[in-house]
Amino acid sequence: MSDAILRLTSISKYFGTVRAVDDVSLEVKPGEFFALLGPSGCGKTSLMRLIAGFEQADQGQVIIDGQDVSHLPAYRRQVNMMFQSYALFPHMSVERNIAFGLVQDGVSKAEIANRVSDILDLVQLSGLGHRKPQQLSGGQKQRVALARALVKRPRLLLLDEPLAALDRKLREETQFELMRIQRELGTSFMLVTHDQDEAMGMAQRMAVMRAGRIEQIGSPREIYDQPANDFVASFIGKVNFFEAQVSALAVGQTSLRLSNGAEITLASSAYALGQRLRLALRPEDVRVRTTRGAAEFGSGPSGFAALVQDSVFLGERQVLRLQLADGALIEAVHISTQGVAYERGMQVEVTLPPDRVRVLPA
Amino acid sequence: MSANRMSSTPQEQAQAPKRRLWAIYAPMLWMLIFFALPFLLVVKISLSQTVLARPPYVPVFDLPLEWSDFLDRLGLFSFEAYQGLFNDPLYLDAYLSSVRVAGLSTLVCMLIAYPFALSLTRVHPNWRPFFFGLAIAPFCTSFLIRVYAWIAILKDEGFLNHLLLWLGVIEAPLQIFATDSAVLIGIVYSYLPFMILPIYVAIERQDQSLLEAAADLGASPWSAFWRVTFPLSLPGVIAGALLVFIPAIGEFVIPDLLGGSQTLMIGHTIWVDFFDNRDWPSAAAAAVLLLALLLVPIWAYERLQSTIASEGL
Repeated sequence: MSDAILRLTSISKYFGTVRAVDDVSLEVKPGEFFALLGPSGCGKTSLMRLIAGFEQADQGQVIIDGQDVSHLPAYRRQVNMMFQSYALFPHMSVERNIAFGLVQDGVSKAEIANRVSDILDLVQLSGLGHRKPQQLSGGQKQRVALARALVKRPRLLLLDEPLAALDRKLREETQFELMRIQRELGTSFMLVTHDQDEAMGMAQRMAVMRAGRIEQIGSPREIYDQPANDFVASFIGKVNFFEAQVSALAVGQTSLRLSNGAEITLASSAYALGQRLRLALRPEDVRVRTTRGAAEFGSGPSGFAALVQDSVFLGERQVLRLQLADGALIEAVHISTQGVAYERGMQVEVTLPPDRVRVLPA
Repeated sequence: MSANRMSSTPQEQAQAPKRRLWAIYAPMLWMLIFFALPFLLVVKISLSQTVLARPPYVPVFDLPLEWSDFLDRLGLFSFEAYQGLFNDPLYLDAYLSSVRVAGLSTLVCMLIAYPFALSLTRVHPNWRPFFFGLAIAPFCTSFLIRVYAWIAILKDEGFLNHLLLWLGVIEAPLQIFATDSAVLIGIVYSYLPFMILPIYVAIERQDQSLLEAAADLGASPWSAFWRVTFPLSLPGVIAGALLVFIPAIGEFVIPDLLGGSQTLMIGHTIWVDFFDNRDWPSAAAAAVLLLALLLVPIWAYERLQSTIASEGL
């Protein structure tokens, strides 16, 4: 696709012998809110610094708006970045901080004044233009940093952990604020974060990184529902894993026997008899109901017994930790409005809906 | 830093104000004994009249002092020494020439120290102690010996002239020794570290992400230096300038040893008044006036510091 704002082709970056970024390719489309998500040290920050131009890639190309900028220094790239530390110039007022890039580009004074005042309106900081950064709160500094990066009207805005320094309440507000600004301006945003809620909440598409490599790229829903591997499944939300073996095959159906003895049938025939598989199921997909009559550890075709080990009440939902017959622990989420309150020590029956089960390479 | 304080016990908190008072009063006591009292003696001498006696001035406020004596002596109270300063053009010339030499030395120090300090912040941290060592090594030798060494370098048949002649840059020896240039070189050499250190600190403590932010916004390294690094380092430059200018203006040894007969500096003039002319009141008055003049830049610097502390740069 040639209309991508940002295209990375097989980018690699080494620090000594460490591969900080390892053969990464991805595209960001015009007007897209894209997130790079991964645990700390996964290379997401290095990747962003390669895009901004603070580091030069050892291999591969960085193409911004159709132009190969791989060998251009940061100040010649049409990308702007909002720094995690905000990096506001302490000797300049809010207005002069925002105008910095425009002055650098030789924009006329009258136009600078207009654009600075417009962007101050956009980030809701009108009237604070004469303050120094030291006289601003954390949230206000963050808005100035955003305004300073946006006022140059970049094709792509990089946001390095933009919410990390904010408290919880402000973080939620800012999240909606960033989405509003991104919609209003239509600029492509690339968010770098280690917080899956942040990425999933804001991004239209995201890339999950580990050890310098991209594990999966897709919409938050795709990645949540169809994680490519164990790492993605457990990094994005919570997940229960089950070991299983193919026990019977039929037309369009595969029967699996789980390590705890339970059986489930998948609507797929892509597996061979005796093949070992790994199943992933989100806690909210685990169906739990009370066992009637004398409960025994065992398994039926429809479900299997489990013991409630712990129960955490969280208002709208209840998180249960269940012990299975083979000793394995799984987690289940039960919506509180469904009547039953589960308590520690209760016997329950668990079913795994085959259509929600995700088969991962074993 | 502040996180460490959270664990302090109530007793520690009760002791803290006392300890803080000590921290304030100990240096103040030091200043009182070693600066304020001697200075008052100088002020006292400056308000006396010269006599050919020992001491060579009329004691005005000396103890023991009876009330009647005090009134008598009030009549001896004299501004003559100060009037002398304004009537004799020598003093004005010496002040102006000192300001010129000290100012020029400060400027040259700045031009040498800034690039040095800037490159210090850019070299690998492992190498910094080495370069600091280079800057500070001369202090390991006595100041006087170093100034005498400069005589050997700068005199007509000294090392510098030999080198330049040998290189063919000049055909006849340069007259540097016993000129104002030699004084300038001596002052720059002696006070350079006092300029380097504050500038280095001012640049070193700057957040490196500021330079990245400037680059991100389109500033080339040159432009980022002038728009970010340099303005943020100005407090260090000003501190360095005061640390060089203030001692340089009253400098006595360097102009005495490296300067010529036409070199006129106030520190030297005061020395001559005290020891050669035995005119203690005039010398004391010149010293008091010098201090009064130096208070202006010091006061301006303090103002700047407190503005920075409250509002940022």
